[in-house]
Amino acid sequence: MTQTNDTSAITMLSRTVIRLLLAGIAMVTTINASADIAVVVNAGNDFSGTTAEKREIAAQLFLGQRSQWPSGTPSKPILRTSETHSAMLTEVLGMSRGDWAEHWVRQKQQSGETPPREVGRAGMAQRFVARDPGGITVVSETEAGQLDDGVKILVTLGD
Amino acid sequence: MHRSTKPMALMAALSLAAGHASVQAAQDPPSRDELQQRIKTLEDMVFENTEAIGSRPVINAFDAQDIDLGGFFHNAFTFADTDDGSEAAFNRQTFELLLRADLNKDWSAFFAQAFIRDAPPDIRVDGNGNSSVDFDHDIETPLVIAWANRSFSDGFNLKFGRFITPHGIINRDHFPAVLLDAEQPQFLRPFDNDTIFPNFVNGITAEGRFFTPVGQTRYAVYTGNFVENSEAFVSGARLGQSLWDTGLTVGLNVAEGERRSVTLAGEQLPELRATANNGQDYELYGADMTFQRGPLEIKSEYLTTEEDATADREAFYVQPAVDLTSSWTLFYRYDRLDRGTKFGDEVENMLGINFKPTDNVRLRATATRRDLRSGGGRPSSEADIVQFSGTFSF
Repeated sequence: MTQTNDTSAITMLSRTVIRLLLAGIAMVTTINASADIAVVVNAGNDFSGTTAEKREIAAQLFLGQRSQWPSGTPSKPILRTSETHSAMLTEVLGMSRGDWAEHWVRQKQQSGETPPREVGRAGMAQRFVARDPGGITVVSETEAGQLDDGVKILVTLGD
Repeated sequence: MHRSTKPMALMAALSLAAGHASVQAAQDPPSRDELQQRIKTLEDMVFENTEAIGSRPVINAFDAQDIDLGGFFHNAFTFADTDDGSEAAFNRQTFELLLRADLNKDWSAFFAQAFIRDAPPDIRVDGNGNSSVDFDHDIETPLVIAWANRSFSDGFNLKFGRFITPHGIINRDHFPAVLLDAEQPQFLRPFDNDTIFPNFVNGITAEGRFFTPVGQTRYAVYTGNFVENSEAFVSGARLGQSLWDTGLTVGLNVAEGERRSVTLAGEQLPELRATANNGQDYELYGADMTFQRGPLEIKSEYLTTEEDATADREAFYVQPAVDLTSSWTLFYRYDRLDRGTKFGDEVENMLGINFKPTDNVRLRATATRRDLRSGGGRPSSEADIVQFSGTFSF
């Protein structure tokens, strides 16, 4: 009986230690939270799902893991530059800038795939998305308040 | 390097802007400030395009929609210390050119052409168990990869040509630009050997990925010929599954084929001389695991073969790594190989560190203790190897 209790205590202790370790890793790897960011898609895009599902599919598209939306429409991701790109790495991909670079070095070397096109201005990024049924990009909280016709917000992420 | 349409796009943008402005003027004249803002936007575009293209000629592909060109340069210096002395050499310089061409969204091709000067450390053991080292010298210009791909969907792609055999983890990683250690685990050496499975296959492969509530499922099924054994076919498959957002990916590998017959010529590498390749059939079974969470990454592979008429083979390694900072990565690798010969196992314990001053430059230092265990009349012996290497990718 004592042995069973000891075993049980050890198991609980092990679980606690593992959880603490994972929590520690998570704390170490947490990137400072940034401002809100909106994932913007073509107005005709009919993808629906929970926030987590929308974030997941956006991440898969920006990372080149998916080349199509679930409907079969070919995707056309457009990256942004500067702070909006950094916010996308944090909020959509949960990656550091180094992880992002490593991912694309790997893709380039293994199959010659390159990252999506980068566009600086929100207006141009939105026009690219409006022109392509599979278009997807990100805009900042401020930029999201002045969306063009032809695009819509898929999901807003952030604080 | 994309086939650039920027000048045309710029002209179109300018025309559209001018046209838009004139139409707008007829309806609702823009203010002076609005016009100045539009001009400023267009000037910014011109400036960005001039910076990107400048006075350089724009390269046009014959028929491809996109051409991407890149590559890497890899250089290594190796010091090996054995019972009978030590040797050191700048023993590897590799320049590899990578090219991808997209005809359209369905058809693409990828090529890797290498120019290699290679002198791997040749560690030998005599009958008294004394090890010695020498650096062989070889110059090669292999066509490493050349495949064309027909993409039907993310879940189904057909590649044909010469490709990396899609087993395990490190063989698929393959390129020095992304490897923590440029010397791959023992079972993948020499570079173009088939110690456990052929590193490359000329043939056809079907591969794809699916997204499920559990995570990503990736598969690859192939058949073809090992370049050193063109008369026989090898076939195999790998199924990989990532598990939710745990950072854990596991893979299962199976294959079957026929070994080549190796003539025990004196000039061949010791790995080949010691490998029992007699044209026998074999079956391969294996599992691989990657765990990546935050700064921690662990890779491990276990592969075993069943050989007809010769002893079975077995390979295992585990490679934990931790990112100390965004630039520094510390790693360790335990690597054991049973070649299926009468000799004992070969075990390597390696400690290494990587430094990335920028995303595209990787500098490494590794220290390896290589143990050749006793067996088949060969006494045990050991060698210490220190290597510095760097890879510049673009």
